[in-house]
Amino acid sequence: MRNRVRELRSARGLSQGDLAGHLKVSRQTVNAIETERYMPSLPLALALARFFGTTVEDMFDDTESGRSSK
Amino acid sequence: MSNNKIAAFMYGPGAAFVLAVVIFAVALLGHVGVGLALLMAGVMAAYGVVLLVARRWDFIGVLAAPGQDERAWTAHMRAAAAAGQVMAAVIVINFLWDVLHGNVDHSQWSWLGAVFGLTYLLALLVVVRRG
Repeated sequence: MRNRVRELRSARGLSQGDLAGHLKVSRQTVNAIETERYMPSLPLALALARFFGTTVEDMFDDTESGRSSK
Repeated sequence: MSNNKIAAFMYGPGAAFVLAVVIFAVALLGHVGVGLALLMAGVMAAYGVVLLVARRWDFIGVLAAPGQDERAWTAHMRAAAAAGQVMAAVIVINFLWDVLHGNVDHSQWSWLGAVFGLTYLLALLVVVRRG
């Protein structure tokens, strides 16, 4: 599923390690989410949305085009 | 060293080093021979060293610290499920092989199958009840 995590992180000038530290996950997990290799759990998706001041729906594209991106 | 780092060490490389000492002691108690005891303990210690020095590699990082985050935990659960399916197949095939050769009374596979099956059912019961 396509997501905007990298875009939102870059816009704030954060590294993957910085974001991982805030979310209490590994840097590799942030990378896996950004590259759409890992789908975060609902609590982690909510934590991401809260951190970026947005909604889960805004960050993750579950439309047909978003789902078929991988 | 923070508590998290100590915990990560104890569940990863630390556990491997402790197990290496335990293997060595048990092997000596079992009169296996010092050479073989050292070899068995050395393999486990080498595993600990790999966990210690190659943590930056994603695979080793997840292997060394299953509880580091939800992705590592999920990966371990999926790997355990895959390994469990293979084990179940191995147990059933070997049990049937023993039955085919008339070794039902002395088959180790029937015990393994019983333990595996009952553990699975109990675990499933707990998981389902928790929702």
